Parts: sequence; C-alpha cells; structure tokens
Amino acid sequence: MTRLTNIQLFCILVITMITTPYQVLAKLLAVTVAQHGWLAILGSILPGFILVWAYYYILVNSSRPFPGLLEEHCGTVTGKILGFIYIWVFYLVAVKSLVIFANFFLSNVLPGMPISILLIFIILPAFYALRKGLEASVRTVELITITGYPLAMLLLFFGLGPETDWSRLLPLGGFAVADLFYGILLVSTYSSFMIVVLTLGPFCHQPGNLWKWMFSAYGLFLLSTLVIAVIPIVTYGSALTSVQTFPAFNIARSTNIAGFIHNIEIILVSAVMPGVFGVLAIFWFVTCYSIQQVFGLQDYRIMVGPTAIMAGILAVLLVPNIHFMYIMLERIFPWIFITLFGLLPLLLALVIRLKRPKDLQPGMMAGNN
Amino acid sequence: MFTALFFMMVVFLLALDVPGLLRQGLKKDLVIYALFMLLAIYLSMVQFYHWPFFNPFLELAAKIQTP
Repeated sequence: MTRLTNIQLFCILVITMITTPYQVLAKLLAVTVAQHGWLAILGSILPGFILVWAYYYILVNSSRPFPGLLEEHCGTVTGKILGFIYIWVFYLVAVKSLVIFANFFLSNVLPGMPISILLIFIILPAFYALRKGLEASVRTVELITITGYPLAMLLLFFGLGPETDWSRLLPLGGFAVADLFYGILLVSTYSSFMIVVLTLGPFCHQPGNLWKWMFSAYGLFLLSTLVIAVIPIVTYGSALTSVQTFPAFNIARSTNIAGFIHNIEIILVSAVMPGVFGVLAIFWFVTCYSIQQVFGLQDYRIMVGPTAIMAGILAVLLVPNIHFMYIMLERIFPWIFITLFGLLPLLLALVIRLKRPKDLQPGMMAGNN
Repeated sequence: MFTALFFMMVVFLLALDVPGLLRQGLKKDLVIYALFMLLAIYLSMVQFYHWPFFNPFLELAAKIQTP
C-alpha cells in the first residue's frame, strides 16, 4: 500500500482547495457581495473549522477510506448508493477544473485554439501520473505546491501598484444579509474540497496527527482566499472585477514595476496550469478509487482509461461557454458541493458520534492511535 | 479524421487494460470496465455526431439566466 507523508497530504489539500478559487473566486464574490468578499471569507471561518473537525472525526473513527467508510457507518445498501453518487460528484469536480482551465486558456491565453487539443494536453499528464500510481501523482502535487503556490501568490501582490485604493473595500454597510450568506456558502464550497482527506488520509503514516495539517491547510486556504478576493477589489473596484472573466490574470497582465517587471502573465499561466493538473489528478484519483471501493474492484487504475475519455468529452458537453460556466459556478455547483461535501459529512459525523459506545475514546474504532 | 483518431485511442486503451484483466480472470472488473468504456464511447458519439443529449446543468443554467 502506498504511504503518504503528512506534508504530502498538506500539499494535496492546499492544491485542491486553492487552485479553483485562485481562478474564479474574486469574480464570483464581486458579483455576489460586491466589495464585501472579504467579509464573506471571514464569515466562513467558523463553518470551515466545523467542517474540518467533522472530516477529522470521521477519519479517526473509520477503518476504511472514503467512500468505503459509508458502508461501515450507514450499512451496505445505503453506503453503496451514496458511494455511487459520490463517484459522479468527485468526477464533476475533476471535469469542472478542466472546464475552468479550458475557458481560461481560450479567453485569455490562446484564443482560437481547438479545445480538444487543449484538453488532451492537460489530461495526458494526469492520465500518465494516475496510471503510474498514487505516489507519482502525489510527488508531482508536492512539487507544484512548493514551487507554484508561492509564485502565484507573489504575482497577485505585484498587482498592488500605484492605483491601489484600499477604500474600495468600504463602505461596510449597504449589503443584503442574504447575499453575504450566499458569499459564505461560495467560500465554504471550496473549503469543502478538503473532503479528499477522507480518501487519502488513511494512506498517511500517522492519521492520528493529521488534524494539525488539516487545520494548517485550512488556515492557508483562508489567507489565500482573502488575498485572492481583496487584491482585485482594491486594484479595480468591485464593479470592474465583477465583469472580468479572470481578475487574477488581468492583474498579472497589467503589472508593471518600474518598467522592469512586466509582461508576466505567462508566469501566472505556468503557475496555474500545474495547479489545474493537481486538482484534476487528485479528484480523478478519488473518482477511480471510489469506483474501486463501490464495485469491489481489484485495482483502481483500470478505470483511468475510460474516465479519461469521459472527462474530455464531458468538459466540452456540459458547459458550452464561459457565460454558462459562471452561471453554473455561481448558482448550481455550490449547492451540489456544499450538500455532498459539507452537509452529508456533518451528518455522518453526527451519526458516528451517536452510534459510538460511550466508553470508547475517539480514534479507538479505527485503531489509529 | 478525428473520429478515427478517437477509435485508435479506444483500441489502445483496450489493448492496455483488457489482456491483464482476462489473464487474471477478473470478470467483474472487466464488466465494470466495459460499462464505463461504452458510456465513454456513447458520450463521444454524442459530441461527434450531435446526438440528442440531456444536460441538466445547462437546462438549470438557462432557467436561472431567464427568470
């Protein structure tokens, strides 16, 4: 069995949670809550901490990786049905990352390039990595996090030029509370991507110590999303940010430091591309692993081939253009993800708590401590 | 041309996975693999030949767009 180090799991969580918000969250929050995106992020701290605690609680009280643990706690039939649903939702996240990547490239970097070629270039390395096994994918993700993440964040800070106006984050009043709650839901959607820990956590050397790494990853996620949401607002204002397709790219494009550091958008592209590879590879792995668990297969790797074809085709079929992509990202996908990655795990943690014998300490059921 | 390339890719994948499954006698794995591969081929045909396809996300998005 492949073993992961805790730092590798931390890198996986960082990549899976931060890559998509880096591309789209600033616009989504600007559309939903205008300049109050940072308030939505602060508001999502508590729900996020509860969610992380729920994941950890489920992890230490289960003997099988997700979605196998659903059978353990909910019974075989319910567990299999839920597991089957989760296969497609994990797959949806993988396909969604492809859709965002393709639209990002087609609208900003290489307009007119055939989408099929673009998709092949991102699916092929992920296909190879998954066929080689979990270790290859995880080592790549570790490298991407260590090199790509600081670079991507640095490029955003470069955007704080002379036109920066911090008063654009104000006024505090004048927003609908319902919109703010929707903003919190949007941010929580991306923190719920930490659900991959339920599948990958059991592969770690010391699952009992994972809570430190999970909370660290969540802390980094909060800080990163704050930077991602605030910098476009103070640079462009909420009205302009809400009409841009990818605000982070525009920041990189307009960066000019003393006429010396400029035309750096290609560096942003080279930081985002591996990030997309990371999200795709991890959620694709979780999909294939879920198929293995639900159907009781010998090896998850045989499912990589058919799902590779489906991912490419679905990325084109499901979302016809960038306009519909943003409608889905804003109004449809958050409800699906928050229900299945947020509410259901919370319910599951509650079920485990109620079913657990009173004299048993947390963690003893899994024999992890 | 593109369809031919696609079927070459499918044949390549089948050649990569199926012999191993047959050699090990993993019948259930083979059935699940075949089901997913058929679904992948069907979706590809939908894309290549514009067969009718119900996309719930697009339907919902269109409804949201025009309240």
